[in-house]
Amino acid sequence: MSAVRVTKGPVWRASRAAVKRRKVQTFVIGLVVALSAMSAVLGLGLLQASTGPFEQAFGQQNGAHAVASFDTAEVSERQLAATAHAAGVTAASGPFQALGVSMQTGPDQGDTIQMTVVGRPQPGAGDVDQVRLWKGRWPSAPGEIVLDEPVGRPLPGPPGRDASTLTGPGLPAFTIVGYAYSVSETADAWVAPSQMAALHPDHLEMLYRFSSAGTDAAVKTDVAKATAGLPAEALTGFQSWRTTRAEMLAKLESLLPIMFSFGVLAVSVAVLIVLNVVSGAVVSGYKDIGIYKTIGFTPRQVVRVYVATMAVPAIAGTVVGLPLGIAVGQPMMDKAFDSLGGQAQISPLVDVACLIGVPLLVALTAYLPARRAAGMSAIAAISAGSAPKRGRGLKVQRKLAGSRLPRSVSMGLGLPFARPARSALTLAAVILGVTTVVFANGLARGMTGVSAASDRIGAVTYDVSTYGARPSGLDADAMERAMRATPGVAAVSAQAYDMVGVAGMTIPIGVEYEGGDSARMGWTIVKGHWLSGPNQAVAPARFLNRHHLALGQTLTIEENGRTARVVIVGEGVTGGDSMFEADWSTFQQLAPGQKAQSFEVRAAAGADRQALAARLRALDPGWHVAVRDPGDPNEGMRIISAVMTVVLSLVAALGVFNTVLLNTRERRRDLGMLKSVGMTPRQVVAMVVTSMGVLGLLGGIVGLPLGYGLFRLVVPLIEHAQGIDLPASLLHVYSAPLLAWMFLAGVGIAVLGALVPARSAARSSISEVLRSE
Amino acid sequence: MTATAADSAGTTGSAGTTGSSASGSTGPIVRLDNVRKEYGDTAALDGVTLHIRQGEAVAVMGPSGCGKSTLLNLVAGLDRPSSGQVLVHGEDLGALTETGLALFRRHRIGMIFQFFNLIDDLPALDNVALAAQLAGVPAGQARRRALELLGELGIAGRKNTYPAQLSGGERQRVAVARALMNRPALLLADEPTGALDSRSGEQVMDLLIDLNQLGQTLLMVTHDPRLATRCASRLVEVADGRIVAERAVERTA
Repeated sequence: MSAVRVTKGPVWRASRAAVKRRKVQTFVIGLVVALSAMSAVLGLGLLQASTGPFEQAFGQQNGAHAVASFDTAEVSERQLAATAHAAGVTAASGPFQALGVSMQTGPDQGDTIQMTVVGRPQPGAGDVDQVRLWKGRWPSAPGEIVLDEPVGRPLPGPPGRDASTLTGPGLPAFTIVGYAYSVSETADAWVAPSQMAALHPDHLEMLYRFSSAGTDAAVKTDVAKATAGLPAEALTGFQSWRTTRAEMLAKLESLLPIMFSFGVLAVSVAVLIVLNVVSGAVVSGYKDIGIYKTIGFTPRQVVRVYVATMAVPAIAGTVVGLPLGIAVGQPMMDKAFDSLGGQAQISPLVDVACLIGVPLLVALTAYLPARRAAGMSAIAAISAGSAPKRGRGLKVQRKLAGSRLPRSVSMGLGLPFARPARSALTLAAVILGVTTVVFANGLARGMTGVSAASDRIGAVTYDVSTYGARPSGLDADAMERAMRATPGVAAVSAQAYDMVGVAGMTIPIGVEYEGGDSARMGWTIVKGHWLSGPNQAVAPARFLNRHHLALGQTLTIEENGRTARVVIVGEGVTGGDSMFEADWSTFQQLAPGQKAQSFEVRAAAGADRQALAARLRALDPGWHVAVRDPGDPNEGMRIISAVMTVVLSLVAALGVFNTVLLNTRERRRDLGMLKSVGMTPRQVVAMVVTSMGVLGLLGGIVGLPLGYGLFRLVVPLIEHAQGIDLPASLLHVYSAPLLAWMFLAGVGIAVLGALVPARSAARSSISEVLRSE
Repeated sequence: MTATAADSAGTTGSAGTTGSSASGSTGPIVRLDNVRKEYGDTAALDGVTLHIRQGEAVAVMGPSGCGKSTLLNLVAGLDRPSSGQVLVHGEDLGALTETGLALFRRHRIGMIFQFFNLIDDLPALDNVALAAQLAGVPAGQARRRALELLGELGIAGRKNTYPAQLSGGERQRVAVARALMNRPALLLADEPTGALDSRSGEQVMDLLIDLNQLGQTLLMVTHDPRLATRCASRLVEVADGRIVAERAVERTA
């Protein structure tokens, strides 16, 4: 240690000297703090986002508490504009001209879409509903249209078709010039105001924000007060923000338990690693503390030296890690939420919390052991950590010394016991790393299984459909016969869909009738069985729960003046609360003479999918053949899982790296001696890697059940949020080989962290270290 | 000093190879030929030539910074010469890999340090046994031999004591026992009495004398003239990285 003059500024001089002298340690601490800060930002960001993704988006757009529609025949635009100043209204936008239309993507192409089109000059027109234009540009002339879609969502309509234009009966063709998103759902599409005259708007829209809109009743009262001065028939209806919020939360709810879990994991790992690394660095400097005391530093000055020494990498690491966390975290959350319509901005509060909290945590972690050492006598501090203390695993090391294991391995197994607190912190970080790997893996596999079950991936290859009446070409029956006769087709099922009345239910219910080879189309049944005979129904859990139904109960369906009774024989995986499947004979009873509206086709194993699609299309171009490509509804979950697994595993490995670095530095004299009596470089590496490998093994033993437990805890929350029941087969995602490699993930993390410092220790020069005490 | 320690001294290494040089049974077992060692711009050793024969006890003396410890490190394979050749038992240490040097240290030499360099977390017995266990000797066999050596050195009763509880002299005896575990052909000592009180130092000196008289080749570095004159049969004086004098020594009591 260079001589330190005890003059003005000794604390700063000493800490600066310590930082310069221990460059590697300073760099490692800075790196660990940076990654921990990044992890903390991600974790806190996830925790914060899990509490209000709708509110964030709503606040960002200054969303509308009420979207009110008015009859153009009963009220003028001037009268509506005046309601912006009504009592209780804090902000308003409009009135905007609007109309409801049916549109298709291109003539005779794609699904028919019912849309509310609103004329609006700018996405941010008015104080309320600052629409987010996320692709393209706003319409500025007639013939241009912007569609309302959550960020990144593909255009609705048959995939694979040219979907750049929209047409509708009696309407001009529109070119889609952009996509925008309104969290308040104020429109399905926007056009330039100058376009509206040609479209003959049938209503006017006003967007309101109120001073109090916390309940449904309050919103209703607010709307009534705002429109009190208008003619009685003017208001035709309004949409409350609370309804919109409930719909979005239903979609987001499945993501929230995952975010919360990863958020807690990330913050925990960040805190643990900082505790481990910083306390270890201070403890390893006890000898220096003793020397400071011998030359006249007071205990308070000693503490300040160490806190100041740690402050340098702490501040540097935080300054680097914070923007890194935002750079990784914000796109992660954007990707996860945008497709669901929500928004999650990493709050400035998270940034402030990390900017202050991380260095504070480092300072506190440095303060406590430094204060302890400062309270010791100088000699005690100098010799602290070098002399064996009672209970420091000495018995374990003696036992290991007498074992049959290679000596380098037995020494490695004993090393963690020499520093039990440091080893425990490192072990905790490895456990959390393994827990994350196990949890994330199970989640990804489970959700993939659910998606595959929902979308029947691997069972249904093509969706075949037609739009509207077909004056020529193959009718449904002929098309089905032709498809069955096509080489490469393994199965064909027929579908028809209608809205029916069901006895005891006040709203129309959607029924999809299934015929043909529907049993071969991959339907996953949670309870009971698939349709196997006449007058049967299969319903999703949401439907059964909402209407308090169970398997074996009978539904009386009414359609077109005819009735039929069906027995609920099975519960499916997914579906809404107002639809179910029924068998083909029931369809024929209720709609005699009606034909199938669409088909699902299953390709034979080994069939060339593209060639088969071409053959099917060639049967009759009037029938649209689409390869089933459902996208990835779990993309958000997958992204969060992947990012957090990588980050947390890296942080855990870095914690191990630092532990090994400290251990080898503290034991450099022992290492030198071992080399002097003939320990080869390979034996040195084996010893050091073993010392961490044992922690990795323990990490696997503890982390595996923890990760599995977390998975079993979160999945029911997802089930509840989605209102579904998942079959047990979809939850058995951990096969024996998978469990084995995840168990070894802990060892992998530990070995990864230990390898570089182990090799460095093996190569280090020993001649000098052996001559010093 | 009885047969056990005597087994360690003299002509055999632990692998059973002869301790004599490859060039013949009476040739030097240590040869430094025109060895130079530089650290940056500084030449710690400059053109050193030194031969040590089987059974000799050579003391290297000189002021601080003269290069004597560098010389010892080169012979121990702890460092490599910048130029020249270092041969021990015919092995060119400069040509060995790190693993080769480790194996060389394991089988050919035993080292005694000024500050003992014992592992604090292991008791005396396991500190001594460590050297053999690294060579693959089973723990039981290694411990038995270690106990024998500790007995020969008069500290068998301290076998389960940790280094922190041993006196300086006891620690050095443990270190000597460890150095002898693998029956080295060459014993190297770096200031072996430097950290000891006079009484302990005397005891260690007696130990080294006994070992040498039983045939152990000894190379020691010291600045203590008493150690040199009592233990050595030849004295080499080093100054500014060069050998400035060599002479035979009549051992004193």
